[in-house]
Parts: sequence; C-alpha cells; structure tokens
Amino acid sequence: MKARVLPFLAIAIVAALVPLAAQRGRGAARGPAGPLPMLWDGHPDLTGIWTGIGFTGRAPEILPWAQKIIDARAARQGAEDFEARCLPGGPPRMAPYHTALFSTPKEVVILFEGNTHMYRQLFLDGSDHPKNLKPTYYGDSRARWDGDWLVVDTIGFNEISWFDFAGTPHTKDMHLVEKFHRIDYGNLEEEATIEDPGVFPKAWTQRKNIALDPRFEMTEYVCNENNQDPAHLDALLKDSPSPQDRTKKALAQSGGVPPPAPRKAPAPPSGATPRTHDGRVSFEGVWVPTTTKLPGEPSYQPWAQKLYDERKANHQKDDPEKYCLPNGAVRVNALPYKILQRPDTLLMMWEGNTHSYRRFFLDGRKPNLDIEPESWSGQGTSTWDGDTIVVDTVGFNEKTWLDSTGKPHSDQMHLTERYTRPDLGHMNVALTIDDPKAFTKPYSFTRTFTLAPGWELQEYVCQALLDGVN
Amino acid sequence: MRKHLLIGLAMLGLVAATAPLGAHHSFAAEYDANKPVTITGAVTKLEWMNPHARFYVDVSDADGKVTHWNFELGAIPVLVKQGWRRDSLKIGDVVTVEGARAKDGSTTANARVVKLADGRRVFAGSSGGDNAPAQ
Repeated sequence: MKARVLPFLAIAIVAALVPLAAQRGRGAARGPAGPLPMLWDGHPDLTGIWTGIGFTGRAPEILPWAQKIIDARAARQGAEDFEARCLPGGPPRMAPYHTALFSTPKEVVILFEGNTHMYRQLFLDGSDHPKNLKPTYYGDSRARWDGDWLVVDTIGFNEISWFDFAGTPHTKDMHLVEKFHRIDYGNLEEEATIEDPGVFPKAWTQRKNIALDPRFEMTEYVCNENNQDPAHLDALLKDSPSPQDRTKKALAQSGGVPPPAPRKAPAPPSGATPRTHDGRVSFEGVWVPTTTKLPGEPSYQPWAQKLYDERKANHQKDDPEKYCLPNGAVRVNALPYKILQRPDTLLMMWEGNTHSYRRFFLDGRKPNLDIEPESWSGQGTSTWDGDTIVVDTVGFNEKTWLDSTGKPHSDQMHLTERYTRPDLGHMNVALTIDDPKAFTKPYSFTRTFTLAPGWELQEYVCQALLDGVN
Repeated sequence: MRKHLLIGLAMLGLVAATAPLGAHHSFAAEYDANKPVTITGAVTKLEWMNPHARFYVDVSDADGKVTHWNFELGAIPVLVKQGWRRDSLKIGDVVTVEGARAKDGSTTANARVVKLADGRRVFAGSSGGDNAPAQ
C-alpha cells in the first residue's frame, strides 16, 4: 500500500511545483507543443481553454487599514466572501474551474466556467474608457496589441470583490493592467499590475505561465442551482451584518448601481447583409428581440398541459428567472444580446438574466452528453446551410421555461434553430422544438431581432437583485 | 485491468487536486478539518449539479434511529476531470465516506474520499485544502 502511495505523492509534488517553476519566466512550457495560431488579422489567436487565468497572490505591501480588513476577514476564515454567494470574483482574481479566451480582431472575450459562468469583454477596437463609468465587478477593459502581447487596461471597479479567500480588498480607483502572451500552441504568459494607492503603497505585479487544456470543454456552471453554502456560512456570521446588508452597503459605497433595465431599441439601420473576411454572412452585432412573447402555444401532452395551467394559475411564482436561474436556449428577455463570430464558433452573450453565453461550434464537434447529460442551455452542433447557420441542440434539463408564462418542455426537447440575416438591421431565428414527451407535435415559430447600432452590453448581476439591492 | 483503472483514477484525482481549479467558497469557513467523520450508509439521493455535486446518505444506529447526512463533493467540472460521471453513485449504493464536518454542527460534511460498495476508492474533488485562507 505504501509503495503505491509514494508515486502518487511524487506526482502531486511535481504538479505542485510546476507552476512555481513556470513563474520564473519563459521556457518552462508545460502545455501541449505546437505552432502559435494566428487570427486572420495577423495577430496571435488567444482562443482556447486556459485554466487558471488570473491571480490569487498577496501584495508585497499593504496599507494598515486594508491589512486590518484582511485580518478580520481571515479571522472569519473567508466566510463573508461574496463568491460563495454566487457573485463574481472580479479581476484579477482567478476564477474557479476553467476559463476560455475567445479572440476576434475587435474584441477578446474571457468566458468563465465558474464562479458565475459570465463573460468579460476586452475591447480591441482602439476605443478609450467611456467617461463616467458605472462601477462594476469586471470593470471596463480596453485592450491593444504591443507586439505579440495583448495589453488590457481596466478601470471602473466596484469595491465588492476580494482578491482571494483571504480577503485582500481594493477600492473603486483600482487600475489593473493585464498582459497576455501566447507563446506557442499550448502555453500562455500572463502578467497583472495592480495600482490602487488607497490600498497598496506602490503598484505591484504578478506573473505566471498557464497551459492550454485542449481536451476539456467547459460545463454550464450554474452557481445558483444548488448553492447550499450560504446557510452554513451565515451560521458562523451571527455577529456580522447579513449578506444582504453587506451587499447593499458595498454597492452603496461603490456608487450603488442596480442592474440595467430594458431600454427602447433604436430603429434598425438599413443596408446589405454584412460578410465576414472569409465571405460568410456575419451575424455580429448587438441585437434586441422584437418581442419576448411566443405565438400560440405548443400542443401539449396532458401532463405538460396540466403543469402549464398550474404555472399560469399561480402567477408564475416559481419562475426560474426570479431566482437568477438560466432562461436556456429558447426563452429571451427584452435586454440585448450580442454575437461575435469566428470561422469555428459563434459566441452569443446576453446582458440580462444570468449574464452568460452560448457558443455555436462550427468545427464539427458533437455534444458530449457523457460529461454533461443535462444542462439549462443544452449542447449543440452547428453547421452552415448556404447563408443560414443551423444549430441543433439536445441535452436539456426540464427546469427552463420556454417563456415567462411558464410553457414547459421535457428533457427530450430537441431544438433546431436556423439563423439568417436578410439585411444589415435584422436577424431571424426560425425555431422548431420537437419534444414528443411534452408535445403532441413539433412547435415552430420565427423570432426576429433588430440591430442596435452603438449599443453595448452592460454588466448585469442578477444575484444583486436577489440580495435585495433594487 | 480494473486495478490499473483505479490507480489511474486515483492519480488523476491527485493531479487534478493540485491543478489550479479553485473552489467557490473557502473550505475553512464552512468545514472543520479537525472534525473528521467516517460515515457508512446507503445513498438516498444524488444531486449532479453545481456549485457542488451533493449526495445524501442515511445511517441507522443500533436503535434503528436514522440520521440523514448531506455530503458536498466538488463542482461538476472537477469531478468530471477525475473520472466521475452522473451515474458513478447510484441510489441504494452503500458507501463509506471520509470527510470534514460542517462547523455549524449540522450533519453536513465535505467528502474527501468516497469508497464505493465494490471497494473502489475515489477522490471527491472537494474544496478541502484548495485556496483555504492561511490559518
């Protein structure tokens, strides 16, 4: 038995040491070898799953008031950490589980698996930070290329997030400069310089190398689905303000920004359907659905009709959206959606609800239901059919509603979406939902989105509403 | 063959545990590493969902009194990397769980090791020790 344990220990020690060695600089590659992939604009393509983006290191020097806060939080062993309550960690804190980069010439997006399965947009279009930024968890990030390094400048933070479980604080004046350098196919260097004179006497920098994780795809991580931790943590915080009070106070100190509300969409512009660099229809843009209502209703099997009638009768009291749970692949709300496009993937992000994302993979991959048998948004296979993208999705759970009235579906739901862009200002999605367990026949309708030029997705953290910050 | 698979699984577990996968709450805040528990009982429910998979075990004492235990596992992506799948534990499986009990005194624990009825021993991908604040 002992002889068996020893090799395991050796492996554990080696694994633990690798990141330390890698921190010393280049050459300590440990990700898969291969040439550096390039984007069609000639810059490095950072796309991939890079587990461990971000940092949890301690500042070399910290002002006394901030040290007192760390000591107090440490005395309570991090029980107050908002991350345990499904709120974003905020950069430069390393998000738990996997993290993906999604590169396009005008924007790089960081996609988080945990803790909130949200996204962070790094704008690469030459724009500067807008004036009068509202404080947010992820701040406002503007990026540029410096040789092969992507340099990301971020300001506009709220003060809620911690750097780590130990509770290193920051102020809303924090200025974060992150640098990303993809060395080759499997290795990335990352640096973060933190400047926040309210907490740190001088700017400090952390560095590390991280490896590509090419054999794993991120799961749909829904923190609110089964988060039993706050109940146990709160029991240890009897003498502290309630989490709701702490959230309110923290938001008030940061400028108190509630999540954005629906706003009137501008008239869609006219013009021809735009094309990508490789001649495909481009679906890129910020889009607003013309309606969130569904036409008619599915022809339901008796059990599903009964469930639908119950939801209507009780005025949708169990609506998952109220509990910050995902709307899934069919239901939309009135807040905007945004699409970014690469030859291998369409990325759809949404502002409202879970402030999360779906990806439509055009690289031929099939759903991996072995790893994730069921999820809120399902798993899809996407293909081009002429100028149409066809997204075929299965692997749904039974928890999502098809709309706000409570239309149910089953785990046998098979969703086909056909995305077309007939002109500059419109995107049509023809949906066919086949669900023999819940429907007597397939249910089909077409949803139209209009382009909202000049719009951008704002940060929306539903959990702050759940905590009574409204 | 099976033995090789088991060793492979265990190795994967250790490597995964040292990889920077993190956790969504501080282990030390919720669980007491100095209150180890070893519980044997039948699985009554499995929740294969984030932020932690959980399973529930009923334990009967000599007088027939049943205690319900609630065990926290890791997040799904961590468990999947360690070779777990949704059907790795089934209702009715008799398991022996080693873990750390919740500080609030409830019959909740962070599972560190789960021994399956057929003798397989798998790591639980829990947050124990990962990124816990310095004591």
